[in-house]
Amino acid sequence: MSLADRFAGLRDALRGLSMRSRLTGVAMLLLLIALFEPHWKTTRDAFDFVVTLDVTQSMNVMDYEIDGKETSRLNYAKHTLRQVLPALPCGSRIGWSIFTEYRVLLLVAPIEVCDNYHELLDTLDRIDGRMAWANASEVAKGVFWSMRSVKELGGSHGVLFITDGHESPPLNPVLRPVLDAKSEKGQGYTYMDQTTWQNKPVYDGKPGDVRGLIVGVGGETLKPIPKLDPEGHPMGYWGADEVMQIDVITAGRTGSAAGEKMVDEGGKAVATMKPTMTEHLSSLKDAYLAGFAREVELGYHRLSDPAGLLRAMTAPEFARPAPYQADVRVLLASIAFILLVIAHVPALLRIPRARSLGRQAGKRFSRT
Amino acid sequence: MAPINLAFSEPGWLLSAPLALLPLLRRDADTVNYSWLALVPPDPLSTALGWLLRIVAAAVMLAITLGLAGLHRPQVPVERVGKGAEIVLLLDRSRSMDEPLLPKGSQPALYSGRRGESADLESKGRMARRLLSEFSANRPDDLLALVLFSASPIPVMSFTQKQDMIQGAITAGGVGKGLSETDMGRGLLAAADFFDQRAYAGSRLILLVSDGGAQLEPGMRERLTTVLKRNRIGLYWIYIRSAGARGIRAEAGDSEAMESAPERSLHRFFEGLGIPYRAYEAEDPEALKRAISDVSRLENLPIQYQEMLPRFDFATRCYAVAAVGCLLLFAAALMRVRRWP
Repeated sequence: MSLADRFAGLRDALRGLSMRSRLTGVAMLLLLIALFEPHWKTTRDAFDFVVTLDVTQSMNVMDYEIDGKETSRLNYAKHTLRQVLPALPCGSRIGWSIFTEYRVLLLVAPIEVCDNYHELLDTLDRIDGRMAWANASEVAKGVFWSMRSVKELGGSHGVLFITDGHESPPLNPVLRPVLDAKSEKGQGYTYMDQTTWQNKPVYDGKPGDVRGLIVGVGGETLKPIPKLDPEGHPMGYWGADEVMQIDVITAGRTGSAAGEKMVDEGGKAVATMKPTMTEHLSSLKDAYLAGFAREVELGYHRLSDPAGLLRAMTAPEFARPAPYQADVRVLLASIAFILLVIAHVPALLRIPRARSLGRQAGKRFSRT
Repeated sequence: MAPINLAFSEPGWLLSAPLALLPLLRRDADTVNYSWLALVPPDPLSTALGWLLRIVAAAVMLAITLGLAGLHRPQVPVERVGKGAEIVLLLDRSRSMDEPLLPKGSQPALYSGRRGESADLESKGRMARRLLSEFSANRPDDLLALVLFSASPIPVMSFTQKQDMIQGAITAGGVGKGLSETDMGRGLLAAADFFDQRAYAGSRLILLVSDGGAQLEPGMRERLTTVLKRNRIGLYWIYIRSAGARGIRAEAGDSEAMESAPERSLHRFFEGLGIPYRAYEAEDPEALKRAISDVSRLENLPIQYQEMLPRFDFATRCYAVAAVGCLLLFAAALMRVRRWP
């Protein structure tokens, strides 16, 4: 038999095939292609953050509930992050950092979340108030410090700063954190503008040069702050006379002249703050954080549940296209499956007359 | 071995599994017209074969569903034995570590930059981190944990072999300046804690990298002695000498005041512990390198560790089964009687 004849034979064979067999044939071809594990090189959104957790003592206030059990702000934040981590798309990178005093300390530089999931969780679980190296909480300076850390890392990571916004010592309104737009030094560790007051939190970068979110945790009502010793043992609550009720400027300094007042650069006395006598109690400083975030061009998100935080973190503005190998097998196999479904749904096929004949005869007839 | 676990990565696809029953529903689509059915004798073999092919078709569809649902065996831990040790890196995160490591005899003033590192001199901390990261990259079997210490111990990660994580944690140490205080006693306790309640799987050691010593109170000494001995932990101290310090070993002509310097006192305490202990004084980058290569050379006893057997994807196998099934169905279709002769 010549080659042409053979082909003719094959053509004949195919021509006579039923619709179902043809569909089966196409499905077979698709599945065979799938066996070569074809991939489609593309990109997908990934989200990189250096997550900074406030570990100061105000974060131990029991404001939240997990499964009906009271829990602290810090624990709730960690609980939320534990759920967010596996929900981030693979390729995203997360790093951990903690905030106390006036600065942050980076614990783990950002690493990929899917491969290092267990390791990242392990470090998150270890973060607690015992890591704090000092009892102060200058939140604005901490946020600036976290922005600088991100720049120092050199990546395009966002900052995610989780705090209750409780400034301790309190911040005099005239010393509100400012972005020092004039200074574009952006070098070294100068985080305070030496020509203004030492305590004024100043950021030496440009507004908007670091993206990210400030995440507010805590309840609306003032609650006492548990007092813990350095090893984490409870020692009651902080008393009104144990914390600074006024800011450092109002407090002035101990000098030889009694009643010495701080003056500004023009020689005018700086407005002093009336003590509120509530600094030993803590609530989420929602408005302060939101306003501050606006000023430094970060987003603000009030923590309520993991899904909300995930949505805030995966907003399009934080997306980075990460290379991704899309699996083409799924596409091929799903088409093959649909073809087979069509092939076996009698209603979708032209039903030949013989069928009714078979019924009449009362017995089935297979042609196999 | 543990029973084989199977899991689905996209279980939603399983909802389409019932569709695999379609081929089993009784109906005939491929029929041939014939004048009178009663003339055709019943053919049990054909009937059986017909049912077999239906079952094959159902199996094909089920296999595709399983493949789409991402049938896989999740990663499982397996016990392995390698050469290495369980090492807790205990790193000083104090601000003095930001200063450059000066060659012996030189004056800090000659090198003083603005703050910390100058252009051509690496800081002590950065050098220690660089060498440690090379060290861990060359010892894949080691289980490394990391504790930073300043005013309080900061346990960063527990034992892992994941290079990403180890390098991420070491890199992090270089961001931002150091902290102001050091509490070495609690740092050591936190490091030793990693071995508490942990099955003995290989040699255990704490690798302390610091540029200063500490005077430990008696209570802390007692706690440390107990926990280090109980857990059979060895101790390597890489002491990075600060400019102007006299070092940890006594030299002729040292005054009494020098004898009570914190680094000397700590060194004596470690020596008297009765645990395997080695101290290295790194005065220059070369010495630091030597110290770390010593650790790599000496700590090579067998170590038991768990390795994660990566997840195994069965999807392609499922598709292979389906493709073979389709091939059978198709071949059968080609052989089928289509016209009565």
